[in-house]
Amino acid sequence: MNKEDYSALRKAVEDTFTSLYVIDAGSLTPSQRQTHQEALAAAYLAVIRLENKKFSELTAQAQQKLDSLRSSAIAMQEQLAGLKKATQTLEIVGGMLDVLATIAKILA
Amino acid sequence: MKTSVLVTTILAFALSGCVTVPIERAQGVSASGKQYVETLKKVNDLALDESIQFSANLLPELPRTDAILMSTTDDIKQRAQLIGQAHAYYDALATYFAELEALANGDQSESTATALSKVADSLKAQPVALELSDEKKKALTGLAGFVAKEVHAAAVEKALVRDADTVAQALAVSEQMLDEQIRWISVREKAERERKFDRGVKTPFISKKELGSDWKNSWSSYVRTAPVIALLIDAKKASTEMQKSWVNILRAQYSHAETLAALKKVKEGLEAISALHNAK
Repeated sequence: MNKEDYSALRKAVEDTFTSLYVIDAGSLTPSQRQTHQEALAAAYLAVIRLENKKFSELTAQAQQKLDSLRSSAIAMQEQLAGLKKATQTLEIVGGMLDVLATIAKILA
Repeated sequence: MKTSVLVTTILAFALSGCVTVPIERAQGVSASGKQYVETLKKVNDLALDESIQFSANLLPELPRTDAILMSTTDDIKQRAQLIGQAHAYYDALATYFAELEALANGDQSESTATALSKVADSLKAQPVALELSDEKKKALTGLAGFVAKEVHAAAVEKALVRDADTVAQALAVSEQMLDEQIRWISVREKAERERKFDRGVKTPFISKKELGSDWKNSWSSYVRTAPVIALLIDAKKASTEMQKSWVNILRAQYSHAETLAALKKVKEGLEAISALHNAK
């Protein structure tokens, strides 16, 4: 079944369910009512299963994207940490500069 | 002030305007992105609520057999699991936008300039005793701040370019999920509205019964677009805007104000509907 056929089938099932849902069971004979109940149950299950099938395909696709998204988020954390680390290093070096300068003078 | 110092200072300030462009782009898109994911999560919750409530109302009308009860229950439980997976996915997307925002806001230029100022002061002290005028010190720290800003902007730009495809694909999958959930809700809303029309409008009208205010209200609400459907149409528009926003950010053509305003409207509406559901 191609995509168009599947889409037409799904629409037909939804429309069938709506048509059955609209029928007032109070206006039916007992035998018709039982047939209506069974048809309504079957149509609703078909609607839910078609919906679940489509959504499970989409969540499977989404799962495939999860790893890339997580990797990107981690890469950004590392970049941000790198930026902060550079500043901290500069601050530490700034505080110790006299020591470094003394060493440089001794070695000169 | 020497010419070279003056030129360096002016250049640093002049260029800093261009440098902030990728940062502003990333700040804008991450704010829209966070709000977008919040909206998707609300539609996700609403879609599950609608499915559960509709099924709970329908079950008493179906044949009272073990098979019918268990099939319907199992299928709705499976749906709850799928919705949970979608939630985890949206959480990952939200984390991405939060990290992008943190990176965009993580400008270290001021603290770098402060740190360099301390370095410059220690150079002036013994034993180095470097002759460093206040003007030179100011130019030096200003330049260091600029360099830090440029490094930061480059990091943000790098993230945007690196993640362009991943996020575009993630947004496309999100929109397909949104479309699917809009369909679930629309099918049930339509069935409910058709039933109400048949029983509350058509049957009394054809049977020529006296038609009071209830009938008029039923007819009026039928011809109007259902609030939840109107809201889902807005959510769909906001989703399309978000995707455009992401593409435009990479082309440096962007306006987040409209996307944010649309998302805010949808979010408020969804919250009102959820509150109504909870109050029932």
